[in-house]
Amino acid sequence: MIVPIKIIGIVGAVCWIILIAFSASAIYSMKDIQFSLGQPQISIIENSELLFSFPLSLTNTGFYNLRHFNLYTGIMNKDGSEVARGFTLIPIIAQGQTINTTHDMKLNSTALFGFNQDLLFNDSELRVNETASMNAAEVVPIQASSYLSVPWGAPLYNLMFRTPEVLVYNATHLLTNIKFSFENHALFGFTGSLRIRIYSDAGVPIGGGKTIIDASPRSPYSGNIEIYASSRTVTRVHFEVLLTTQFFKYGPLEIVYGS
Amino acid sequence: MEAKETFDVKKGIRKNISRLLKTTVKVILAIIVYVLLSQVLAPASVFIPGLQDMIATFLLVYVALMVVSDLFSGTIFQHFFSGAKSLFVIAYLIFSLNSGLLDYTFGNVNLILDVRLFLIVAMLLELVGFAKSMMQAVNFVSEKVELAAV
Repeated sequence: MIVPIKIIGIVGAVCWIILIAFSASAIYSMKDIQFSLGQPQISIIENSELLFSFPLSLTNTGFYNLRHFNLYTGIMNKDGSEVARGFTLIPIIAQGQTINTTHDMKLNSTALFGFNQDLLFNDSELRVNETASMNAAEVVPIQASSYLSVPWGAPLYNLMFRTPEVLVYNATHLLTNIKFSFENHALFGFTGSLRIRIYSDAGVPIGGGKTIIDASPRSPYSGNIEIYASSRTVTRVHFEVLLTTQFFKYGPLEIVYGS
Repeated sequence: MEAKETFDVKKGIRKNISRLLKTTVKVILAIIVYVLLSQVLAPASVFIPGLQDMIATFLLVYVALMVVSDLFSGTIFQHFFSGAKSLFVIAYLIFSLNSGLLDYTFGNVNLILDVRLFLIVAMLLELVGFAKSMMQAVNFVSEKVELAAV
């Protein structure tokens, strides 16, 4: 009986040494994992979606492979609904390997502006949930998550229409020149069209015009739109403004002019 | 008769000295393991607050039970203390590792470490250790009975 007991003791001790050595080296290895997320590249894809591509670099100089590296980014609106999400899954990062990839995140502008048009005109803050998980040393699951606020720059900040300048074009028409301006505080630029229709006080359309907008990121924009309107006698008109870009639509905005 | 008694006393002293030496060596080994582990796990202490204290408390109680067990060497209590040591390790691991899910918060970053696999393996090894202690106790009693019968 003594021999089997001694063998059990020796095997147990050896297993403990292996377990402690493995655990200690796995924890020690974690300091040799380098992770960096760069500045995003922004592009526009189908269905009014903005694609944010973050350069992602992972270096594993630890003793073991890393498995199932998963990075999730979710952007929440003020009301808590998710407006953008991105997943990146790297099945394995071998020991000594460096992986460079991109963490793509799609921002659905319909979801973002559809319920909260305030974001078009006012700078705000969005909540971001960043979660990274992996199996360190292939068998020890680790997850780190963080909630942070990121500033949101309004694409149509301080949108203003100046008082229309009305000139007599000919015997039947007037030329109305409307100047407008806004500041694009967003990280992305956009192109689109601004359409204005003029209605008489009776609600009859008397003219309309369209202009192309090309706003660069984080820069002011100003433009004007020329409208030829029939010169019937009206005391009061209202303008209907419709803005259409590749990833958001705004309008119709009604502006009353006259007395 | 007197010579035999003197021989028995000498034998007892020698036995006690060897037992003390054995225990001292084990304690020194435990201290070396503690120092090495502290150095290796120092980077992790930044992420896991109280890790050093956790290891120190564990080793303190473990070494104390080991010393008591060794001092009672040659009696059945040695095996009981050895079994108690195994049960202590199991209980301590469950409590200190929060049942295998460690959750830490640093500023606005939340870190979850899943060490359930480590916990299960460690508990199984300790259960084997506990079983070994019980088998040693049974063996000790059976040897005593056999000697008495002879």
